[in-house]
Amino acid sequence: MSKELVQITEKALGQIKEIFEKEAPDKNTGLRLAVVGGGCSGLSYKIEFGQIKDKDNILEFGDVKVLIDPKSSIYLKGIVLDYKDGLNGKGFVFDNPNAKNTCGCGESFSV
Amino acid sequence: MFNNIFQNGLIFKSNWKLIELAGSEAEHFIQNQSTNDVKSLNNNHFQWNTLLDIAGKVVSYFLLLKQSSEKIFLLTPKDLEDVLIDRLDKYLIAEDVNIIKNEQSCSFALGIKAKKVNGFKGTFLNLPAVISFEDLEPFNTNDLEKFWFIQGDPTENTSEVLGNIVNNTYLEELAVNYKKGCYLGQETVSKIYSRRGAAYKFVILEINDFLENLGDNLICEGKKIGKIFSSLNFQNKTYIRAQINRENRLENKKLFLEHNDIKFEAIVHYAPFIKYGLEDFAINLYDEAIKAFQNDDEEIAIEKLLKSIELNPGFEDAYESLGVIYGRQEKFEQAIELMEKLSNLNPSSVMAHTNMSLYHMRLGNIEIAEEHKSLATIKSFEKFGKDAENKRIQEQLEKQKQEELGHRESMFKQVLEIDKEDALANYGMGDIELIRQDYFESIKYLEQAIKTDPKYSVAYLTLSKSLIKSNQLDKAKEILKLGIKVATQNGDMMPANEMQSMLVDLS
Repeated sequence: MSKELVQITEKALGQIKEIFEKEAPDKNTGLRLAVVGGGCSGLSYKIEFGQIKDKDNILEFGDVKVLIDPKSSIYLKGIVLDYKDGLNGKGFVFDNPNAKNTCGCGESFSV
Repeated sequence: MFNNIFQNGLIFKSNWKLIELAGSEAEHFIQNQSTNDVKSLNNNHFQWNTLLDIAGKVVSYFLLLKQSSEKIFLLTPKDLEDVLIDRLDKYLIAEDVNIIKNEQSCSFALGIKAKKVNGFKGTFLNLPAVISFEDLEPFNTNDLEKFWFIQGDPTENTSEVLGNIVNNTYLEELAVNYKKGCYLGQETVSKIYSRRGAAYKFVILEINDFLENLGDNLICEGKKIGKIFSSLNFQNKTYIRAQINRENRLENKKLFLEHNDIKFEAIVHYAPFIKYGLEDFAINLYDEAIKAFQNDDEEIAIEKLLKSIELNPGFEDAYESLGVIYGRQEKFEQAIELMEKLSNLNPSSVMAHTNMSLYHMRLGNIEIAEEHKSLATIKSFEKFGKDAENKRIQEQLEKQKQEELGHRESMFKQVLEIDKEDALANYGMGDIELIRQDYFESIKYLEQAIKTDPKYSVAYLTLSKSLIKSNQLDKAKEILKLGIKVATQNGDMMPANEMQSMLVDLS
């Protein structure tokens, strides 16, 4: 699967690798990116550990796997997953060049 | 294979002959004569059906089209028309039924074409079908002969079926109902079914080569293991409609066959050869659509999603994905239409309302957008509630399962205290330890079970699962091969087939 579906910054990747080392998930587990309904602007992102499913798109970075199910890929195509640890808060941030609205929390978007 | 038929459907005119049963006791009469359950068939539906002799051998086969309990049509190969009428006449005593030759012709519409035609509904060649008395224009029939051949449904080649015990034919799956009550030959058929099953059975063999003139018999290591009814070559392969013995009749088993000086390999398939239906084909198209979208081919993605929906109008993910693609292209009205259809299909869909809210917002319909946003919020809370309830139920079930396992374990251990070699108790403990993922303990128990009773076919199956889980793959293969032999000799076809499938996966 092409890594161009989503981009992951070096900082975000470093953070993911740290989490993987700490949690030590089994080889069938990856970090799942998904989209759910709701949120102040409509759609919101979800990021959590999950088991690899049959039709997942799998982005591999060494031992780290990032998983996106086929339907979520329609929503997520083109996003950039970054990690910000500035004064305004620490955490994963989804930068979506397709998003027409993003709410202040940065978690919710519309396309 | 045959993508054209799955994507576009098929219509053909049949040259089979129609016989009409008319009268107040038509349904009652044919119910008592034939092997399938006519009473439970809905009006304006059809089914395969057969008539047998007292020894369970097929005398006649036909498609039964039920208009009502008082009017039933039988569609049969033309060579069997008079045979069928004679047989029905012979057993018609006092019932109020007239048996009439009917000169109407029939057309068959298969797949998506069946959705647009009036007639008798059913399944034919493993596709949804309608048999119609309307004079339909044939459509997409180029591959009909090949498709019918490999799907295994009976054809005009009556020698394949006539005179065979019905259990040995594909008609057992298509046309025999074991719960429907008495008919001529029923006793024999049921006895065979409830014991070891048929000694020989219909299969489709697939050979990765273009071969002809293979004779009448299937020979393996100098022994006859079955017979050949007919063969067909296409797409650089040879397909054979055949009958093979129980020992070799396992899905995906590779047979090493010979004919004169030719040696060849054939793979065994149960009929129908193409097992997936329109919904599965729709899923394949959906997967292709997603790949196309990911490769920036949005127009191809849209085309495939539209086709996917046409094949399966209940395919929620297809509506959602297509709607989102239209949304990305700023075709908001089209996107909203799709989300409305999604919402109709699934009133609990959070994404339908979320997306409608977003697209109405983009169109400037603020009030409608806010309404959908509220609905999305309500639906998502409902979903949280349901998920929490499901989780609670799962936890309860898991707790019950553990309690039951504990109870079974205590029972088996009591038996093992009396007799540590007891096969059933060792099997039971082996199965429990497999569930608990203690594979090495499981293996110990199961090996004992087989040592005590080498014909315990399910023990081989469970042992092979434990071996695979503990990564002892070579040993697992050996056990599977032994287990398949034992199971087929016992007539335990379900574990035999499961082990065969596992062996193929391991190879």
